[in-house]
This record gives sequence, structure tokens and C-alpha cells, in this order.
Amino acid sequence: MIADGNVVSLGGTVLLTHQCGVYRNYAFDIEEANGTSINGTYAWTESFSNYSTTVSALGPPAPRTFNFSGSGLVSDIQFLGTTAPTCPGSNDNESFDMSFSVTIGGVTFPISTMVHISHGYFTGTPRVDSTITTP
Amino acid sequence: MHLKNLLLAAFLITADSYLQKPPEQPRPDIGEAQTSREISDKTALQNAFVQVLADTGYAGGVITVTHGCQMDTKRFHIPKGMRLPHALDELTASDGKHEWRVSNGAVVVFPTEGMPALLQTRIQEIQIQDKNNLTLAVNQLLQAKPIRDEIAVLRLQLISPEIGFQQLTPGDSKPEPQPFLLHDTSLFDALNRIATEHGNVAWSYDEFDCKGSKRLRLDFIVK
Repeated sequence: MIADGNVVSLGGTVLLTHQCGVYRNYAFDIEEANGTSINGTYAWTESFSNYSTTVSALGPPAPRTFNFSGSGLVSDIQFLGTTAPTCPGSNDNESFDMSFSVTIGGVTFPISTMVHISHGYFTGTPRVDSTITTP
Repeated sequence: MHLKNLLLAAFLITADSYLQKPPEQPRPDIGEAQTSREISDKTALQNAFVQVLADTGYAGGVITVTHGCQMDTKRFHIPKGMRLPHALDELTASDGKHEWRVSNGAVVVFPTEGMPALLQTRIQEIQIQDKNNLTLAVNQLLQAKPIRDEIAVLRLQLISPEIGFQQLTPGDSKPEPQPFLLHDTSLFDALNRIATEHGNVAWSYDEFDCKGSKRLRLDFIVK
């Protein structure tokens, strides 16, 4: 939880400054079905669904695509906050499902793992929770 | 009298918000680029645009202004191997509410009614700490005083950003930050300059008029 601070990635890079809110870093290894880490150049896309929030009546954000090369080791930051000195309200939170796909050489492969995220403030308690499901 | 002035000011702000379009510039030779995948989906314009631009090597941006709380979705049919200008024509024709243009080397899709006022706001000078740290670059732009002031004037509320994924390379040293100085630029031009400097990325500006409040999400959706 930060009151007027930086959001920092697992690699130590400052991504946002002067923020008030909550965040948590996650690390993932993107693997082939046989359990070996993916290697090479690929595009990683995350899509959002089942979005709900107490902050507004907004729908989910558009999908995000990240171009990676090298190993399948990636990090993800789950953040909910505002620019300080403004802070989120005591019951400002959102939840959604994240699903993923990998595109290599123009061919898109869906990823079986899904992540449910719930983050923000719940009657004053800051939380960032994730539930990983693999069908 | 005060009310009249306020109403006049509100009208001027509203009118100014949607009158100006991105300046027409000579198009770089994008005619040779082709779509790398077939798009046949009912999806948001932002998502279809990202797929059109994928693997072409071009940077871009997409601007939407939604009178409602949810992003509009449309059905898009764009074949693989279509020349990029034709694909963008197809994209905007299917959508029906947007045009495309090349600005500062970036392919930009924007509302037919014009650019939102915030994107036209000018910044005298700003030093982007690292042109490869796109999340921080947007954060810096949004915290620039003229932008903060205009957000307040327009009564826009920023939506918490979806930062998303980063590559993890255990044990190695972090790459040196590459600062990037921008002079006398609009927010729109700044985003395009950062996008083209980085290359192969896309930003998205989404404004929602949702249940009486105006909300804004500004992110790089391809990094």
C-alpha cells in the first residue's frame, strides 16, 4: 500500500510516481504444454472479462499486447490507485478475469490458465487478491 | 450573468473539444505494409486496430469518445495480407465513427468529430525519463501541470491504469534509461513522438461520458 509513492516492478523499475493506492507484483513463467519455458519472440495478450467495480459503471479495458523476446519469464502488476494527494475511497475496488493468448509468427495460441483479480479497498481494508484457474 | 458566462464557457469548451482534427501530414510509405492476421470478430475498435497494426512495424494510437459506460463493439472483417491503408479504410468504414491519419510517423485513428480537448493541450517542455518505459512516460505526461490543469477544467476523472506485463530477465542489469526531451508539444503529438521513438507500440485514449461523469483511460495498449 502506498500513500504518495512509486509503483515499482519486480525488476526494480519505477512505473508510476506520486500514487496513492494498492499494488502487488506477480511473476509468471509462460510454458509450452510439456512444461518447458517458451523461448523466442512472441506477443503476449491479456484480455479482460467479468469486470465489476464500485468506482464507476465502466466496462473492462481493451486487451493489452506485450511484445517479448527471450524467455517466458514475465511479471505483472495489479494496481488500483490515484495520483496523490487524492486517494481511492474506502470502498473503491474492482474485480475481473484475465485470459491470455500468445501469438508467434502470426498464429495465436490461447493459454489455458485464467486469473481472477480482485483489488482495491474493501470497507477500508486494502487488498490485492488473485485466483488462478487452469481448466 | 455568471450563469450565462458559465454556459458560454461550457459551450466554447465543448465546441473546441471536437473541432480540431490532427494536422494532415504527408503519409510515410505505409503502402507496402500488410496485415499479418485475419480479423473476423465482434470487438472493440481498439482491439481491431491493434490487430491491423500488428507486425507491420508501425507505431500508432487510437482515440475513442464513448457516450456511455461501455466500449462499443463492432463486427470487423479484415483479411490477412491486405495492404495497411486499405485495412485501415476497412477498419474505419466498419466502425463508421472514426477516421485514420498518419501523424508524426504514427498511424492514428480518431473520432470523425475531432480530437478531444485534452489531447490538444500544449506542454512547453517535458523531459521523459525513459522513452522505453512507456507506463512512466504516460504517467509523466498526465502529471505535467498544463495537463493536470486541463483535466481539472474538463472535469475528467482518470481511471486507474492497467499496467500489465513486463519482461523479467533474472540476474541481468537494468538497461540505461533513455531520456527524451519534448518542446512545445501537444499531448497528442507527445504520445505519437514517444510511440515512434520506441517503435512498434500503440497508445489508446478512451474518454467515457458515463452516468454524468467524464472518465479517461490513457495507456499504451501495445508495448
